[in-house]
Amino acid sequence: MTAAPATAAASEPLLEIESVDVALGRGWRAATILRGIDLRIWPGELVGLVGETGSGKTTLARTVTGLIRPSRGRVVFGGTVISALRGGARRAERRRGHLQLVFQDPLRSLDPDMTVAGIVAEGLKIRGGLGQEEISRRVLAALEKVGLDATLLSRTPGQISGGQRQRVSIARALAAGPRLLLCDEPVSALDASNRNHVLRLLAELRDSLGLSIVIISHDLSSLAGIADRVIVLYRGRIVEDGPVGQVFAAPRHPYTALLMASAPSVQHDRPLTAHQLRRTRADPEPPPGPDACVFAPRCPFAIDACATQPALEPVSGRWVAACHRRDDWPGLARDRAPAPGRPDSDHPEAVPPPAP
Amino acid sequence: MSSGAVQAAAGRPARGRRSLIGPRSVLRLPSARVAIAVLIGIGILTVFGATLAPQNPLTINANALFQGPSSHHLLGTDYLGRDVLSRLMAGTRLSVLTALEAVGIGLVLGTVPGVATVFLGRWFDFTANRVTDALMTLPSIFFAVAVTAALGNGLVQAMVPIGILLAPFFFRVTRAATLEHARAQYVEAAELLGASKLHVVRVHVLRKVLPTIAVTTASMTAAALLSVSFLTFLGIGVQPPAPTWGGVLSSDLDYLAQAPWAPFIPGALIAVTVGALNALADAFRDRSGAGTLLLTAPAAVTPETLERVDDDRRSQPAA
Amino acid sequence: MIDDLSLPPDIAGRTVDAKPGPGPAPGGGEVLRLDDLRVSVHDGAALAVRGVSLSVRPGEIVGLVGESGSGKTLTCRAALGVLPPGCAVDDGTITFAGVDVTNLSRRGWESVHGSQIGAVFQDPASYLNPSITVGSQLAEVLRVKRGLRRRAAQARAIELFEAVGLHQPDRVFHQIPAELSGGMLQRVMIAIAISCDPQLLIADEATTALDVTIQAEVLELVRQLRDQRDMAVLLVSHDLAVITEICQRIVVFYAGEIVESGPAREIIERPRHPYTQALLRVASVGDFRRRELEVIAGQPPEVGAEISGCRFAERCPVAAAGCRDGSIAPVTVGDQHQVRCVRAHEARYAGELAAR
Repeated sequence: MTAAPATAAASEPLLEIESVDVALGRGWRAATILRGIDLRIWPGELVGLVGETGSGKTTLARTVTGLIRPSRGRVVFGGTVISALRGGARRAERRRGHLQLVFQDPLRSLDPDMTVAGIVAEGLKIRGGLGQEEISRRVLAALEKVGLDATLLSRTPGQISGGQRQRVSIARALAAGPRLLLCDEPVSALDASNRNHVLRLLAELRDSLGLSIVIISHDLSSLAGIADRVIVLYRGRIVEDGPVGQVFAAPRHPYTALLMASAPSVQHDRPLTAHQLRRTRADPEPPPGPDACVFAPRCPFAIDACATQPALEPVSGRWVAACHRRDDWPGLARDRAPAPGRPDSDHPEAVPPPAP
Repeated sequence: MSSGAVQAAAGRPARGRRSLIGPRSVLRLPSARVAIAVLIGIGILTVFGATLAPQNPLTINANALFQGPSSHHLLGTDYLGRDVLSRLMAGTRLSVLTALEAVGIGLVLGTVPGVATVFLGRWFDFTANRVTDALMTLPSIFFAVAVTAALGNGLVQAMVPIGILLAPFFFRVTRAATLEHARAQYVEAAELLGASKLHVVRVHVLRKVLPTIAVTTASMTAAALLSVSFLTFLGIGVQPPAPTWGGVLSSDLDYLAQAPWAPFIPGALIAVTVGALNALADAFRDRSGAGTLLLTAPAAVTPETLERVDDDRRSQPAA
Repeated sequence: MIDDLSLPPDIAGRTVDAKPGPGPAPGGGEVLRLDDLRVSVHDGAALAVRGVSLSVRPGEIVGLVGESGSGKTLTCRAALGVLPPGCAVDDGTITFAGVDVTNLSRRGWESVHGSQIGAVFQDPASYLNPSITVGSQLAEVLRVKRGLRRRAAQARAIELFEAVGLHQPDRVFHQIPAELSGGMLQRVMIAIAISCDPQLLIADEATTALDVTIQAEVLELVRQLRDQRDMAVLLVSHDLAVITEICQRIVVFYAGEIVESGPAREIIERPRHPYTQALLRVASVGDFRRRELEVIAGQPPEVGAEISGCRFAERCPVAAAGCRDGSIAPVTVGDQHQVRCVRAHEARYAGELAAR
């Protein structure tokens, strides 16, 4: 187990997302999915990007890779403003293969009529300029890296298991020689043991190849044990971003704490229960308005000041959080009732946000 | 493992559930077997009909008018004493070849824009759709008549407008199938690898659209054959006394009083051929899943697929 | 402020010690009992469930846990009478509230479903008609099963929506599934499942597809409903952490058999089967900081594979010579605690397990 990359502070960020807004749909139906996203990924770090459905996490991945154009702001990768590229220039940049996305569902992202060999080799064939020998060598190397046997080469995605499909998806990304790997829900479809196999694989890729890896997930157990850093996304905004050790020891945003408290675990020694972090009917009405903090409707600690969205302020070092009450809500939470009397969840579960 | 093996595995077209039209799998359907047998028969007649015919289809015999089936004339004779069976066998070539000509024109004019339109942008798509709409409003037989009036009375000339009017059907079907496959996530994945549109079409889309095209071709051949029969029935493109199916039918109807059974014979021939083509199209559709929208549904609900579907559903968390 | 209902709140985090509800009815028998159940698949070609015996008492929450293909889902489906085509109960009995339902006809099951057993599955949207309001779907169940008239059914439906914690239940009544989030839909499904006061609620991976914060709420809801209605619950999941959140008894499945069963606390603190121990090692412990992730080596056997001896022996770290002959019968190792392992009583064994 290596410590957090020592050179991270000194090097340039590999990926910079600067003040990005993303709106989908047109005209009066446009919905803002992401707002004011500012983040940097450094070489060699494994980051967990956590957000529930509607947080915009998949939209963010698609925006970074250029499948969606940001309505504001820009994305810079390895010094190039990739959000401004179009057409041939964008294809050329993609063919370099330095930024790769591993899709969420391998059943949909792998061509069901192609063999494993064809799938993994595709990126190399698109790039061109490589002989058959070289392509074969890299395909075999990629499969070996993800722990798959060469006997799978002639099978189709339908003929292998879910866990193996996931690995093929990762192998396809690896064959292209990436520097940054975006993994969208890489382990959500797997059971606990397979999950850890894949997580260990990702950690090993960071350790041995020095890759930067971003794991996008809706729950913390998808990054448990391997992430160096966690970024929490809620309804299109970053609410907390910092080193895992510090954030999970004492989260500064109530949503982060709610995620931790909600995560099922065999050891029931939670400092705060989920119920202490949920709004109940007894709590005061949150401040209304379009500029209010995105979490206010669900936050038991919302006050009048929360009528304006808090900015991401530093907590210490690279740790930032966006909460007006970052210092006093933990105490308030501890004083709340630890368990409910009867079902009373009062969160206005709004209409699901429009699909990207 | 050698690079040759990797190469071989990469290049091999996969035999998945939804892969290429599998002629072997289609043959398992009894209706398809019958249809193919019929069509092979028709095919033989197309090529060798004139030589296989027992009699000369043009020989007039004034002494043997309107005869019923006999050992000498298996299907009887027509109003000029000519052997009906020979006329139909000889007429197969003209009818079938011109139908195929029309289908060929429709196929090329329809499928190429049908695939291209998905990748060439909104303006092309808009234009192509409007042209299709316009073509579909034209009544085919009148259009054919008008063209032959302008270009001369030949069956070959008559089938060109039929072909043009078949193109919209090919276009629509191909476009729909291409759209469905072009939106697949593996196409996005290929785009993220820097693939050009041509690569996407060649590698991912074309193979999957072929079954749909095959089905449509079979159906459209049936339609074209009917059109040929109708045109020759009307006398368009017929150089008497050359026999055609529709022509035989037409003259039979003229002399219905003398030989009431007569029209059933060419009519049945047309119907059986058209029926066989449609049955083949259905068989293709059933076996290859062309035109179905379920990309990831398991073929059967067994415990493994049950677990696998659950497995895969887990990858789509909802709030 | 604690809402009404005079149940004492659970002590923070100690959900494992949750009160088992009002307790079994006096002289009450088991709600569900499976005796030596054997289910074959592929039209009898493979035996997927191999002699499963378990019972659920009124007011108990029992958790079935195991990997994909372990037979837990098929066991549930058999108990519900909804086996997929090609699967059949080969042997054994299923007794529901004292009545043998093993070979019940479809008509017979109709009277059991809903009024005596309710079930909730993984993807709520696929069990609801997308073009009809959720309220009318629940009202229809009430009309058909309970003979309520339209207005009464509507009122009762709104009550039920409230009971499952839906915010603004009268508004939800008039919404179609597409307008509701996954968590809300699952609550609707639970409302439908409990609408006729069943004695048993079966939840088969009911929370697997939900966001983690919603999952926690739904699990709490299930527990509260059990407390209020003295209903037995059978919770099925591949995630041991989810099971331990609310279950009082845990049944561990492996390769078609039950390898261990007992009180939840016992299983977690003193597991006696190597597979259970392995599951505990890979299960989420709520600690998200950097640590080594455990995996279980190997793969489970093919469904229906005929293996002599213990079916886990191939992957077992403490397998001995005697583990591979004959069939392994369950032995009792504690109060209500049974384990299928020939080495369970050996003194040395406990030490070896602990050392792993």
